[in-house]
Amino acid sequence: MNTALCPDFTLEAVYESMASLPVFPKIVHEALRVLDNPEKNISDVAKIIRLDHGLVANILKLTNSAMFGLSQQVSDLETALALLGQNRIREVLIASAAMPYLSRDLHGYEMSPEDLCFHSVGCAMISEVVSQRLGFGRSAELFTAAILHDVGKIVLDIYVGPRLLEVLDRSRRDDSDFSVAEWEVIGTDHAVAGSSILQQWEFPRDICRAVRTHHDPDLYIQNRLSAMLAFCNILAVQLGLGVGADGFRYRISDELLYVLGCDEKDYLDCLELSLRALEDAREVINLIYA
Amino acid sequence: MQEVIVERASMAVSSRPSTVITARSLGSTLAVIVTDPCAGVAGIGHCVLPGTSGKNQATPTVLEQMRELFKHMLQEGASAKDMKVFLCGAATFLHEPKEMALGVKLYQKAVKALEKNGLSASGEHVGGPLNRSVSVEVGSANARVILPDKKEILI
Repeated sequence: MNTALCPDFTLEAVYESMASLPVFPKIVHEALRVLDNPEKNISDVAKIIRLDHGLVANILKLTNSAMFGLSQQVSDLETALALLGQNRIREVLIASAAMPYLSRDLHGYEMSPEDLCFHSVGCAMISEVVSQRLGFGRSAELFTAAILHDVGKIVLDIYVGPRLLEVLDRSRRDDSDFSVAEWEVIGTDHAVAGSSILQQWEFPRDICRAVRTHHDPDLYIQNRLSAMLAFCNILAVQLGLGVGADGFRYRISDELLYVLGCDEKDYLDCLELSLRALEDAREVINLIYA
Repeated sequence: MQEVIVERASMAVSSRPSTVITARSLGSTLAVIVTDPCAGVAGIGHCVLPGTSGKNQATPTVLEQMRELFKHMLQEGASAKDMKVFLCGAATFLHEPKEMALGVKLYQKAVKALEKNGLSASGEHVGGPLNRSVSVEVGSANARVILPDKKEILI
């Protein structure tokens, strides 16, 4: 029988499965919306967050961690939020909500739960220092994109896991880009799948686009948020942060540094700053896991 | 057996035969492994920066890290004539602009520094799109590369 003539419903199965994924917590979306509203204040954010015990616990743990070096323990949510400030609140909200999705074994990508978690949180922490170093104003959006950029790997691993070995074999055999091999075998890639999930979770269009293009050198150089996400991911992979089998099987655009307005010295500087950001990543992971 | 983990941009040297020194998930960074089987000393230096970025840099460059590693090896009783050097890591993307070719730069700097001192690597497992870990047993002076699929290779 010529199997090439048989219809392959893999892709349909992948996209149908996305609809049955647990939704991204509405409470986090709501808290983020309030946080960005200049007419609202910390008390308004606290009113929403206090409904979720897990979030409250994570916020208090972070505020009382060594990262802040407070002389007294804080047990009140509003005080903790005031001490954390808008950016840190956003990070804890996103990290806490994303963690259950990220703590998974991805056999097809040869990644342990620690790998995916460390890579995602590490990439997010790198995004902060790189945003500051390169004067990128949309650091909050970049942080969100960075922590969720590989969420598509989860869906592909669950629903087409065994076929990912075929993807890896093909990429190794042809020395081809892993995304190209994903398209050839599955008919999509984890970046596109991830972007679809984020659309379903109602994340802003720019974040979805950055996630969709983070391995596509021709596309990520067209948009600064996308280029920043690709850059942060590259730094995380080069530093060996939770690198999967696909980690180095991509191409970097020759124009990436030019688009970001930086040179080799800036790149080395970002690399060194990223190294320091890893300590923060470890602390956040430990806090949320504890 | 005691396992000592070398964190990024740091180093470890030991003369305890039961110690295993490990540097995990190297990515494009480079592990310089030095052993002296006669003196029973081994160490790993983890190198992240090929050169200075010139802005209050706290992380040692590959040359500074190697210098420090050799200094500690000698302090622990290693002898210059018996030391063997191995290189591991320095992974590369399928295509990367030369400014961002971290693995290539680290490897080239390390080899040049060794040559300058009349040394060469006795073994290496570097380059390509592979994320590796490496460990060295102080007692046997065996250096092992651990590949992503958990396969181990003696270098």
